[in-house]
Amino acid sequence: MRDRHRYILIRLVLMGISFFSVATVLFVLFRVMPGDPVSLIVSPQMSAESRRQLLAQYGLNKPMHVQYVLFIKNLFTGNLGVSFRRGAPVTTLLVGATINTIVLVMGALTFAFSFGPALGALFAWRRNSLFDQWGVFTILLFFAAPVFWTGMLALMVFSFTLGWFPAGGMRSATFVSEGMFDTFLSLDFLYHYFLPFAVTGLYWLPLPALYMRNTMIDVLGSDFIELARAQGLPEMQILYRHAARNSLLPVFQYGALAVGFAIGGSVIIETVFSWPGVGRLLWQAVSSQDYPLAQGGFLMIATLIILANFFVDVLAVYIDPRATEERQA
Amino acid sequence: MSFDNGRRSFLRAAAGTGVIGLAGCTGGGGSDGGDGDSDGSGGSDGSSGGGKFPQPESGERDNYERVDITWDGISRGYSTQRFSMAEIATKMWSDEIGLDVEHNPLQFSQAAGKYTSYEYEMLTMWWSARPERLDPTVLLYSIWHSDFSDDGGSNSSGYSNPDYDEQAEKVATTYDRDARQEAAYRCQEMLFEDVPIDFMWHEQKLSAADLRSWENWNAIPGGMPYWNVFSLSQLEPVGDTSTFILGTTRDINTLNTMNLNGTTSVRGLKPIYDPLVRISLDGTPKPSAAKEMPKVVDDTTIEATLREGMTFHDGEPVTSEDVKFTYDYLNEWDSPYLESYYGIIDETEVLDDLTVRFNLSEPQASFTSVSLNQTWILPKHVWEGVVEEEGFSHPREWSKTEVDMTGSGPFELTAYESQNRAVYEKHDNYEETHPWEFAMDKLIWKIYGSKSAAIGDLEKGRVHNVKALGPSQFQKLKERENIETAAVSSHGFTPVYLNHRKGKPFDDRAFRLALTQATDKQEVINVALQGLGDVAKTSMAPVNEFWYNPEIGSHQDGGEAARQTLIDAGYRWDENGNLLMPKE
Repeated sequence: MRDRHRYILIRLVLMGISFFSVATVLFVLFRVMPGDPVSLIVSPQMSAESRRQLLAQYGLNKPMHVQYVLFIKNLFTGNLGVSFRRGAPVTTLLVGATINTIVLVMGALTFAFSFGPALGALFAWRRNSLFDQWGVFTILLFFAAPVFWTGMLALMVFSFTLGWFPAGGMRSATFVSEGMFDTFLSLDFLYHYFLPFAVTGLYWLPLPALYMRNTMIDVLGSDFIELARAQGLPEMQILYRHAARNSLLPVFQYGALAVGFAIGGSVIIETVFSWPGVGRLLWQAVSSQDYPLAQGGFLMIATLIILANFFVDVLAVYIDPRATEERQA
Repeated sequence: MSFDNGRRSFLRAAAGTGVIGLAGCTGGGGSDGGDGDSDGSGGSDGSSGGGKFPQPESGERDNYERVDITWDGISRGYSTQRFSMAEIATKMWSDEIGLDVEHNPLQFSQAAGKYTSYEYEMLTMWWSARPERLDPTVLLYSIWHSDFSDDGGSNSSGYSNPDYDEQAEKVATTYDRDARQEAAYRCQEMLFEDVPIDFMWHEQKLSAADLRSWENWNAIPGGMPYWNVFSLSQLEPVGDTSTFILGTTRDINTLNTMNLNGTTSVRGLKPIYDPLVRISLDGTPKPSAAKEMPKVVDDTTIEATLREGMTFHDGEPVTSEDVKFTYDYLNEWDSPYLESYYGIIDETEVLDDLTVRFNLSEPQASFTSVSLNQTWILPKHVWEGVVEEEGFSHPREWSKTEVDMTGSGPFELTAYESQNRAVYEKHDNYEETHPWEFAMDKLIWKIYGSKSAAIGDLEKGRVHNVKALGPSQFQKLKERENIETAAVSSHGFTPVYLNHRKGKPFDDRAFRLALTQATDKQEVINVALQGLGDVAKTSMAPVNEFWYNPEIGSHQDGGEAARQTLIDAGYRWDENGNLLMPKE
């Protein structure tokens, strides 16, 4: 027990170090990029004084180390600053956009991590059958295809050609929302949700399926499965109650990490489907050198990934106490 | 400057084989100097002057240095057309005058940074066609006058000519339209003569509109052809359409009028607020909140009278107190993006309920047509005291999630969803007090992640207008039924900036002229813009009819004339056909 606590404490300290390293790298990275945010506002006759005034407004007239100290100080108070381009607090902007991303990504991941392992278990159960071979081939296709390509393809076929789905966005341009509930659960929303959800879901489906298949193949060769068979239990019961349960751990460990990666990697799917999420927001922030928004956004994603790692590590020691020794070694 | 012999030799070889696909260009720039002479001393007159690229006289080679230039261009992702422009032009220069130019594509923000810091030799940067730039002040005064050539000023090339400055000042300050036109003509003549930069093209602005929803599409010059009261009021609905939907990839970054930082925000806010003057379809200013065009009392005194009965969206009357408040407020708090429009106002006086007088610090010819168009009336009862009440250090801190969007424009903002849409609803009082009526109840600014998605929805009739199309997208939509495409000649221009501050060869008129002569601009336009543009001779475009000087000639003389210009100015070529300039 003591070891376990010590282990978690060490992970916590490491997590803190990771967080500040990322924050520092982000701070420096955006400031060493050539160009500055003010130069984007090229207004004719803008005087040098106005230019300086804008720099001061953005806090960029202070020496770099002073800016850094302020940045870290603000971080401690949860203040990510105000977006240069949008004039709104970064936190407000990020929260709004992240909710949209989470709705898309979590839906797709839930789909992928529910059906993926079930499918993987079936593949393993019927290993080397035609079902297994064609199934693995098909999901590898989804895995290999870049998501922007499948996204564009889906748009071309189902939106531009067949006209079954809209070309993007979260709601129709003319949609009138009657409240939060309506915003995410209306038919109009689902109509817009389906294509990006399906493309993202199919993109994330292969890995849990393949993880599950491989682990299951090992597990299916174990003595306790033989014993279950000897007891005369039904096939499906052996498959899902005994074998699958014991193969799920690596899949869920991967699942926790996938959340961070999926949110961070949402920029492509959001751009293709005009989804008003955090990935697209960040892309715009970077291209317009909106330091506070870009820093805040990347920091949020990095934090999610760091937290997910931490969560996985902690979960592992509770599920399997040997992890403490192995990992500390 | 940078130099990579191997890479350039390869590029030149590749160009010679037509990799870039130019018709009518021959290779040879890299190897035919002196007909293959290797020592550069074969000519009977002591030079190898008989070839395409004559070499220095015998023993004179040390008096020359090689010209190699880095061109800070724009990334293909940001502007495919301008990226192609650089690729094509560098090949032309290599072929025709043996000039080595390394193309270094940048992100827009980096290129813009170089524009204001003057840290470049050659740069891609352009002036887009906003309606207010139909007035010649920006394109003939602000970007060429020597007063603006330091400290980040807008004369980025560093061009300096006292005679030009004198004429440009007349353009900026003369109210008499004919005298102003005369000065504008002189400016163009000098720009043509001095060739400060290599003017390339005036691109056509391409857009497409849905004929199943609206008819009678009439465009205004510039990049936002239908998003203005003149075009919107002329649209006629087909069937029961009552909403106008614009499809765009641009988000309205800020809704706070005291925090404007780009054209998109300005365009997004224009339907909400009412300026005294608006630019009409033919580019001339027309009174909007003003009853008639503001009167020039003397060089520094302008008077404007408001229309009667106007109200803000919340029902409060619009009065001259609001106009005075607006300009006082801007001067008090500053809004850097708008500074060039209001900064010239010394004082705004209220003469009566509907009349105001502007006292300017100096004459400004564009004041009534541009400054009073680019700034709009703010409701005093909304903005006054907000800084103190909310504890802001500046009104820009009234962030877009909370800012009160009350204006007196034709439409009222009723919803804004970041990266998704803005919804505007008609303000009935505007129609009652202004000469425009609108068939639509709502405007929607729909934001897409990509242009192709917006075009897809246009084809399906889900949006009604998509602007800023690429040439290929335009050609494709042109063939569609139910879609009306518009290619509007533009008064903006795209040049190749040359930084005179970098000394030779950029401050040498002969070199700049030779560059222009060696660039087959029509060919560049044909390839990069698929022909959808006009050759630029100066910063003033032919479409800007009143100010454009039709007498301006052409420097499109070809490679031979370019080489002769360089030879006359003392330039020579080395044995590999690379351009050499005489040392100082």
